[in-house]
Amino acid sequence: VNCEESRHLLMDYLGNELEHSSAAELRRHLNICSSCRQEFAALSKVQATMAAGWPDEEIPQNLVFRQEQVTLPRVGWWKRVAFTSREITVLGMAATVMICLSLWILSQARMEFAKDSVQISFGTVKEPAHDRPSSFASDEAAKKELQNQIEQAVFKLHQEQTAQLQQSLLKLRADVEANRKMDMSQIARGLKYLEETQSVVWKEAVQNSSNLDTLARDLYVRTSSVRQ
Amino acid sequence: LGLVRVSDKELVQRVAGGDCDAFNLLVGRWEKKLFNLAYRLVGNREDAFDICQDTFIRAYEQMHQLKDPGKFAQWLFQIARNLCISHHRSSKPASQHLVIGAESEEMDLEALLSDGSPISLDGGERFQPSELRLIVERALSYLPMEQKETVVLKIYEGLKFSEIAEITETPVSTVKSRLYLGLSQLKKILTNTWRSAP
Repeated sequence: VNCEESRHLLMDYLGNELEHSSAAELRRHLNICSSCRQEFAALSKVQATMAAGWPDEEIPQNLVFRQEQVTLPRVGWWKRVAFTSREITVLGMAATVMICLSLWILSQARMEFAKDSVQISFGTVKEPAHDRPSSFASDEAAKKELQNQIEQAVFKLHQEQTAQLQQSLLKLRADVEANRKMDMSQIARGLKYLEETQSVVWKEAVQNSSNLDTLARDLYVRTSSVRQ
Repeated sequence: LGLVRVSDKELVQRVAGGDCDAFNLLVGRWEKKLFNLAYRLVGNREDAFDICQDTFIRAYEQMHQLKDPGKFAQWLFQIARNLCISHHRSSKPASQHLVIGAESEEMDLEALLSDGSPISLDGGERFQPSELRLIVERALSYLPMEQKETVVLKIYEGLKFSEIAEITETPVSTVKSRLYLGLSQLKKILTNTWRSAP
């Protein structure tokens, strides 16, 4: 290798990526080229100095992301609607059936062209009805019947809701009463404990004062005997 | 705790499904590396921290664009590197580089090698670690961005030339040339610092 090629090999060496065969070539060149040898030594030292001179340091503050801080990955519309091959087959079949059905419906249609409009109709033509008065009467009856049904349903619903509300109120009252009793019993226990504690404190105070009296008496007796 | 042993690839797939905990685990794994990469490239802790944070936010938002989840770290480095370059362009005029000899990557290698008196790097050991740190930081700041990023990715991050080539979107041969030029520049800067030191 020449000096130019040896520089690339030198970079491979410094980067720990030099192949075994290339290492031999580099070594041969360095044996005969003193300037490359000097360069090799200097650059190795530069690399070592740089690496040792600036070690990794800790990040000033650990990063933690909350869901609301970062938006969800933006997925393209095509990826969102992308189907598998099986889904495509099913959708294709469904589309074919829909097209056939539409064509059949259109084939059953009857189109009538008037002067300014087109009328499309399906099925057989109905003859005009002649019993309109009886039809009106039956409509009125049906309407009244429906109104009655609605009123009954509303009344029933109102009753059900009232009953439910009453039940809820009763339950709530029972709960409140139970809680009140529990609180009262706790307060009573607390008072009893306080009384007991207080009586103990009093007893101790009396005991302490009698002890003090005894000590004072002893002291007085001793002092008198010393004076005598 | 079960997620701790999960590979980056699997965590990336979970993040793509909207799992924020998996993302935080990835953040914990790579935040220190990214912070140090950004710090060495921009030379400032506060900006490096901001870039580190922005990198993760961008990564989360663009996770669906990652074609190979196995190359998550490389992709993350690429985002951070691009943000550092944007930061560098917006904050520093090009004239601020103190380049000894030539400046562009097309500079003549022979001229660089034959420049000046014989170079000796002996004497670096007399500096305290904190002093050496300042010298190294200063020397790195003098390099043009394309050499600096190559030096940082190779020396400090230990990436392969092929990985650096993918991150910087340049041929492997160019990466090697940039590393060579970068190290040569650093050699001159360090030698001058050694000489001028009391």
